[in-house]
Amino acid sequence: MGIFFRLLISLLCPIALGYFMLARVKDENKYFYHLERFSLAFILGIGGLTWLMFTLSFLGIDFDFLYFFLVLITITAAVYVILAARNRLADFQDYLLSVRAYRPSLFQVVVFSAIVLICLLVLPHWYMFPLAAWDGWAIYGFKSKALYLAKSVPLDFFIDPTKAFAHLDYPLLFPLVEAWVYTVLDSWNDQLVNIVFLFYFLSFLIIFYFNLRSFTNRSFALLFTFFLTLIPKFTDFMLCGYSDLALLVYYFVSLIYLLRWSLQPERISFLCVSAICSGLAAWTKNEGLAFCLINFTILVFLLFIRHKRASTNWRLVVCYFGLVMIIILHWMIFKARLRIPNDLINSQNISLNILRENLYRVPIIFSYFKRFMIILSDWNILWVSLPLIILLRIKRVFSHPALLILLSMLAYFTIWFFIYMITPRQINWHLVNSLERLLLQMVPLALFSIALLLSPPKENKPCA
Amino acid sequence: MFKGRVLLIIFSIIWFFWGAYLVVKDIPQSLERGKLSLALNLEGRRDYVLGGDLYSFIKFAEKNIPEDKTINVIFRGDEFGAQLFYYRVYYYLYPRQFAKNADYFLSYNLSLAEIPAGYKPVAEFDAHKYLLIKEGS
Repeated sequence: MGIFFRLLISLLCPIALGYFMLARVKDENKYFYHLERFSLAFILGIGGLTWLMFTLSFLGIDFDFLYFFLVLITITAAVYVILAARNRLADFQDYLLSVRAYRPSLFQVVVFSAIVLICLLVLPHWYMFPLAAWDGWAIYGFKSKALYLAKSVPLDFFIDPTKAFAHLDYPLLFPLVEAWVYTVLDSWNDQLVNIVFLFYFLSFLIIFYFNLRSFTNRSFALLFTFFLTLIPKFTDFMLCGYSDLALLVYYFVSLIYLLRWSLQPERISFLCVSAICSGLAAWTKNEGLAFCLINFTILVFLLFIRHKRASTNWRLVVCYFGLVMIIILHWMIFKARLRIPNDLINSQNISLNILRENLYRVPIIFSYFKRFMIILSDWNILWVSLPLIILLRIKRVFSHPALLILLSMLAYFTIWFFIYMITPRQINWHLVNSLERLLLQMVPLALFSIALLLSPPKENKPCA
Repeated sequence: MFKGRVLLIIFSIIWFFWGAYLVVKDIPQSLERGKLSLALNLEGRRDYVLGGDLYSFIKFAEKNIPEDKTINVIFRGDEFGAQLFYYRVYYYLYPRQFAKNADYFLSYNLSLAEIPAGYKPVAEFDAHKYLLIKEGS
């Protein structure tokens, strides 16, 4: 029983921290739905928590102290919430009444039940067993064990060549969150740590639903959330301990909230969430830096195309960039000072000569893309139907937010195409070992754009 | 409007039936894993995930090698198996440190005749799996 209580604490602390972060992002008008806010609090809180763990460990504050401190904060926050709820009992009762008054249609009940059923069915595959997928234990699991045992970020770990297999240049969000769970449990348990992935998965489903809901009606949003759970690779990867799960969540959130902000510029909280999640994407995996670059380009494009006031534009650009840098700068300095190399992108790999020499790779890369995308047992009909739907709905593509989603996906694929062109690794090996995850990171965005292109035209405006 | 609706219906039908087939196909395996997991404790689950006797051998090494000693592995088999063995041992026996001329070697699938010079068996897990200790230590 004690261990489950500790497990609960390990989740409540980041959620409390996430609520605190959300309260700081100008959400006075409560633009988020309750469940959406809860899910955002979880994913932002995890990011904030790992950022704190990393930063404080350089000030000599170990994970145990942070744990003690955060538990105190969480208890204080809980007391505050209870007292505030008592003061706003009438509001709360109104909310409960509105929930009770809502009568879901039979279709919505059936689809919701199907989502729950699928979640229950995928659980035993991963949740019931310790980290088993390669990167899950060899990279993130191994690092998290080292961090947990050291109770801080041990510098000597990152300069030891015998540990190079754990990809020491990968950012630390995932290892730190696992180390956090071990710290709270006070034991190394590579099975119970799966609870974090499960919460990411559930939070993401909720966020996906509410974001789609803001563009269309309930039934349609629920149907496409259900469709998301019918992509086998998606559910598999979401629970196997790969950090692609967190990367996918942060990138999706950062891009979609950026688009929602562009449609409702007065809602600055959307832009803040987008900026924080862009930074957290880079704090999760090196690929996240590419996402930051794409989001930043979209932001600049949106601001200078749509809005006239240059001073406001510059302020927003600087704030967005500043938030991203606050999150990732310390990690970049850490890597630079310890001279932890990136074996894929470095000054030796990027040259015109290498690009010219590797031109023979172009058809190989395209053929692998094609080969992976048409595996229907992995992706359902997602990648097959996407180009078809774009072609059939081409008029809507150009007058719709889906265009920006599709362009950002194209930009990301282009960046990866470039990486495949310069990679020093054997190209076939590299494609086989990374392409699947690259496609996975784009799955929710691809499905989201399909949903937008197929949604009824009159309901294409964001809801309040 | 009409074209969009037709497209949505066709897309939804194909997506649903194909997706449902993929889920249903995996239900027996999923249930079996769920049932199995309930019968095992954490150690048993780790053992199941690693397969064979690998986890038992690693636990055996953990019990018999002092924490302050350096370790390494010798493995007979394909390259992938050797890598997997190396990383698994590193993962489970951390914070024990790896070294080239380690105090202890975990020898997997080697006969006694193949033991490297300067080492001798110190504990036997089975006929082909030993812990080797540096002679003179």
